[in-house]
Amino acid sequence: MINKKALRGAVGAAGFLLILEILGRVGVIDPYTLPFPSSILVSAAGLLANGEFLLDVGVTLSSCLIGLLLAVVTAVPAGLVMGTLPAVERAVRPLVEFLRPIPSVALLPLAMFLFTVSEQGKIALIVYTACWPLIINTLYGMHDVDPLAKETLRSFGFGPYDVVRLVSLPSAAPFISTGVRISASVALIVAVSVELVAGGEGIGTFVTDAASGNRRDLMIAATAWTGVIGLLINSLLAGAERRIFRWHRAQAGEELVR
Amino acid sequence: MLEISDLTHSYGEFRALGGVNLTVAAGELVCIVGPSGCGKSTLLRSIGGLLRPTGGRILVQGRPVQGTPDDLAIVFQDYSRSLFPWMTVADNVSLPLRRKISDRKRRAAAAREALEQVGLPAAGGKYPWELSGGMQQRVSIARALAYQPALMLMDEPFGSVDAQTREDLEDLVLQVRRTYGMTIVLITHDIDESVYVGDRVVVLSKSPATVVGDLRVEVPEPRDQISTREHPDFVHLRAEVGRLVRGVRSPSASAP
Amino acid sequence: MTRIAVRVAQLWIIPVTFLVWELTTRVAEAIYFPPPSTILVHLYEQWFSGPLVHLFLTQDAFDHLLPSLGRLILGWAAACAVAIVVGVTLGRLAVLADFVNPLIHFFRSVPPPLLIPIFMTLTGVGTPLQLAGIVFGVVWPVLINSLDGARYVDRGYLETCEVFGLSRVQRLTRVVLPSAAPKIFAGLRLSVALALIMMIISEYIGSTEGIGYRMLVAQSQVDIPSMWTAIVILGVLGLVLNAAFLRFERHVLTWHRGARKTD
Repeated sequence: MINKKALRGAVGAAGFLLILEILGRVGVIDPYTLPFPSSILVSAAGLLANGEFLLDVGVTLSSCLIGLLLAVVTAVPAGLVMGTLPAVERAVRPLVEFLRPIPSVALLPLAMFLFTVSEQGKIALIVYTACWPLIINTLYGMHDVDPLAKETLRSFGFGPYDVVRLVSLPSAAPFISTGVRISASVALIVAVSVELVAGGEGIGTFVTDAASGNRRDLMIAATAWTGVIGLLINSLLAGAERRIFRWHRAQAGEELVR
Repeated sequence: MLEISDLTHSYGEFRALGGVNLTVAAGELVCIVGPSGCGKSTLLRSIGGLLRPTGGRILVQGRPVQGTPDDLAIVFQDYSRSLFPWMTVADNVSLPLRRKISDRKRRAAAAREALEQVGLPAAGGKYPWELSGGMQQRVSIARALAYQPALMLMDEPFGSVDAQTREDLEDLVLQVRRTYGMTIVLITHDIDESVYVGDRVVVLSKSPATVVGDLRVEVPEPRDQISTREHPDFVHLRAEVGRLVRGVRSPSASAP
Repeated sequence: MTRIAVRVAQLWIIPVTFLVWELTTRVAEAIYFPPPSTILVHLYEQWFSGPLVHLFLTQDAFDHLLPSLGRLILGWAAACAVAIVVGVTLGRLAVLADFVNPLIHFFRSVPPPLLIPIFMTLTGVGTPLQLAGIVFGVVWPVLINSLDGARYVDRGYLETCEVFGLSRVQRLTRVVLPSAAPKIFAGLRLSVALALIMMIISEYIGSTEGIGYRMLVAQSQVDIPSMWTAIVILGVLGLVLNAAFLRFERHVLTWHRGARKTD
């Protein structure tokens, strides 16, 4: 069953490339507009041995990773505090709901002022963007904790710190990991956005450079690789989530992304 | 009305039906009982055209079943997956009538009448999820009634409601049958229910299912929940059906 | 206290934040963080101090705000319409969906801003570029959610359709679409944020008008208050679109919340 699906998918992808190739060769699609898929594939293979590109990929991914880590160490504790103390949540929640819909890229020009090193501005924006899904998902997870489990622990004389450590955090963990997955995909979007607008090093800059060199095949190939990387990160995280939290069917899902 | 001959069905290696033969006359109310997992639902889904059996023949009103026959309705056990939560009760009941009645007002009137029949005259404007489980199942029955089928199939219709509601719904089925005179095939795993509701009780064996008993129910009419259930004929029949379901040999000689 | 008063009172943190912001920025005299009062005055002067016949919009608002909004709405609506139609169709044609599924998920994983330089070599600078960017950003999440929603319709619902002989059209409009609606809306909500992001980025990179362009100009002239007014406008836009969308969704999906509560 799975194999049949995979086979169909492979046929579909191959067919898509083949059709574009034929349309290009016949002359329906101007090869300047869209280079032949075969030549894009060759360029894409070439990028694997292109030190400059690999370096750019490394820069983009490391910014994402650093930003994501910073966001996790700030947003998750914040969510935990809000989830444990209802008074804090009631007070801070409106602020969160107020700030969350502000598109992070709107802050890009400001970040360019504040951080003269574009790397830092990029990371700052990633932290800002990645924080919201993490806080919201952590909160969701905390609300999902079974009150009975908490009371059971309390009845055995455990303090509030132990309750959080032994019940709340484990029950909220699947939601938090969903938040991480969502944040990871947003982080990649923000990272390349900053690189496209502000320059520096990274995939975005590589694509801009390819554009100025009029190397459309390289632009598309680099973009395609980024898509593959995004797909891989997402499937890895989703797979890990399924494996680690097999006992829990995370209902948080994509619905919480804003 | 309904003729089933040598009906077999397998899910891969597993044989659910092992040659079922059954004839139901027009206007009859036949209850089909059997141990759980014996293929009762497979049988009903085959009659309803939701499942293509591996072998045998089903005739509804003399025509072989291909897809759901036109004048057949089903009341499913799981009302929450059968009533549409995004439509009001009235819309749920009148939706299937679109093909039969083109006039919107007459459709609404037919829906209203069916809802009155099941004792829910005021529920039309509500959503299914605003009603209790028993009331939702009444809506399902109203939808089937409004459709005016010649044959109504009921798949464990009262399996998801509490005991009191269950008795009310059983009486509702008897009342509806008296008013509309349609043919009803009702599937249940509850032996008492089959004897209380049915004109005939057909007993299926464990899978692969075959018919192991076909008993006519003769208890004084009209039936009611208290006196019918304590009537000696009822008690006797119930025991008889119980033995057949469990596959125990009958001590008396009243086997089919 | 009435319920509304209670809810307003619960928002106390927002005026307090503004106050703290105002005081700290005044005391610290931070160059890049003007006090909110300064930003508000500038916001009024730059965008909303126009004549009455122009609904108080200034020339700046006409040149930059309206084009941005128009492209945002047009691009978003067009992309959503296409994505829902295609998604629902694919959702009902399981075999066809199997063939295109990897392609869709691949395109969805490409960070959409990367497409803007590519589109720009085709369309040049201007509205078509903004539209293309917004459409590409919006299409995939909506398509995937519509596909999933239409694909996993409860079997109980479909069998009911079969039993009561509903026509194909009825089945689609009365059963498949409503049952997929919660999933479709989840995709749409996601797409509002993406549309906004794509609007801004595409205006940063390839435009001579629009809020994003205006903002970048302000940045290059070190016109800090103007830059902040643009941030405020974009923030309010995000807030308003999100709130409006949630309200609309709540209205359309009343049944969904009701049905879930009783489960």
